[in-house]
Amino acid sequence: MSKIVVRDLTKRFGDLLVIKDLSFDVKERELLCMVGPSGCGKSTILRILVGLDTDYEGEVMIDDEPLTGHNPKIGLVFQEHALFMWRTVLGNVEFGLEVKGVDKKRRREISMDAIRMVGLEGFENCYPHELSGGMKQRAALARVLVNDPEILLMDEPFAAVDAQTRNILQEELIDLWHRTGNTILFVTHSIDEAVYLGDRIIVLDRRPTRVRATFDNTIPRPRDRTSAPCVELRRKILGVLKEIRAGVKEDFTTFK
Amino acid sequence: MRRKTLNIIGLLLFFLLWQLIPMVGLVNPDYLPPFSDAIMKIPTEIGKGTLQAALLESLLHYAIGFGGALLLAIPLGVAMGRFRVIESLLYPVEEMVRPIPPIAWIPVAIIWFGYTPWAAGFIIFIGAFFPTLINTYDGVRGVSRTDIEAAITLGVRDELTMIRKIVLPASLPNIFTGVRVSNAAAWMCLVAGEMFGAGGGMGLELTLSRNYMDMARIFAYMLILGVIGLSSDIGFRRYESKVLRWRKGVVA
Repeated sequence: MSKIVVRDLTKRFGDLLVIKDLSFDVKERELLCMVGPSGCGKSTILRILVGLDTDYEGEVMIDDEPLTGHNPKIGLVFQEHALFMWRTVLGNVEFGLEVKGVDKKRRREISMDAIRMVGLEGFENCYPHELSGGMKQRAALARVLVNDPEILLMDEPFAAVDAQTRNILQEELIDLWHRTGNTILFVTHSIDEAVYLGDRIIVLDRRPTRVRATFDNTIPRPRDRTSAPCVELRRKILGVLKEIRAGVKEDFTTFK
Repeated sequence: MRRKTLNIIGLLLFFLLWQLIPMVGLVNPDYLPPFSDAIMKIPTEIGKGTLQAALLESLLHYAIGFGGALLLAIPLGVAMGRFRVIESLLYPVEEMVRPIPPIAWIPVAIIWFGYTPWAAGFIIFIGAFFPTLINTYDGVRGVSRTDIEAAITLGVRDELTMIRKIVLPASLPNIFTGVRVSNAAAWMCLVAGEMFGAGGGMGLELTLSRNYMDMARIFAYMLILGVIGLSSDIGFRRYESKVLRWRKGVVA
């Protein structure tokens, strides 16, 4: 069953056509990765799905219902953590529950569970500036998890952390996903990340964005990044991205 | 600690200089009485009860003017920062009224309120209002879009919650700056207003001292004003660094 259905999505910024007739599905409990050249509108797609951008054409359905504004079933982890700097880790994590009016005791319980789940126990009273990049992303994830979202949208969440931390965070995300059973739409520019995480990988074309290729990724988990199937899949995706880039070059030459 | 010691040494040197310059005859002590003369006036003034009375009056003016300014400037600054219509309506008016020196309002205040605490309070209000308004407005406009959007995706639906939980805390550093500038402006306007007789207080005592030609008394009251200004600013700074603990490291 499809959790998210996008049909003929078209998005313009003024005269600039960013997305044209984009269609894709995300199945229930699927971890779908989306890669594509920078500026192809990946973030825009997530912004539309989370209800921050309502100015588009086409159809977006969540659980077979058309999208209207922000749907509480959907949580978004921002590119640059976007933690509230004036709140502690606990304060940040509690935010969603606070807004919902959950009482203090219950709020604390749920939040501490989420903090434990992302491995930040002992840091709940720290302010964001006291945390490392990886810890900030963990806190940001916990903040979204307390709202118990069925769908998790992640916008290059590990782009700003160092390579080793990124690998650890990816492993943790897989663990978490196995435990919670969310549907995850994960946007990244790292092919390695997409191959490690995704059940399926969608490669987006350059502007105006459409789906260029889809790869089913059936490599069993836990995945070994250096194994032959992983390397092979990475090669294929890279090939598609190269074609896309080559297309850009052609365009430039004709333009001249 | 070293820094604090130097701070104190600096102050002591200043007082010593103040003491010595008139004593050695570098200036006429009739015009600049030595530090000791000014200090000795303070117990005398307390003995007569005038100092306490003046201070109390001034504090009342301060409370009216400064309190009123904050109460109005912060909500208005938030409204201007959040709502384009309110901003467009108020900004030109604000920009026109703000450059008028608060002192220029003294005649207006005295005619409107008579020689009452409200007159002095009104002048202080004028002086204290704009710095807090402008800084609050700036702070609110500067709240990052990501914070607002994160709040929306975490379930914030109404503007009031957005202001309470995101806009105000995020712009608190700017609001504090505004309040501190307003505080300094408030004391300036307080003395000026009172010197013109708008309600008694420390400023009026300065005028009276001039009439008595009592220079030591003038400097005694000025000294007290300096101490009040200094300690109120230290107080605000302390409170600020406590409330804005989250900001450490953000600026650096």
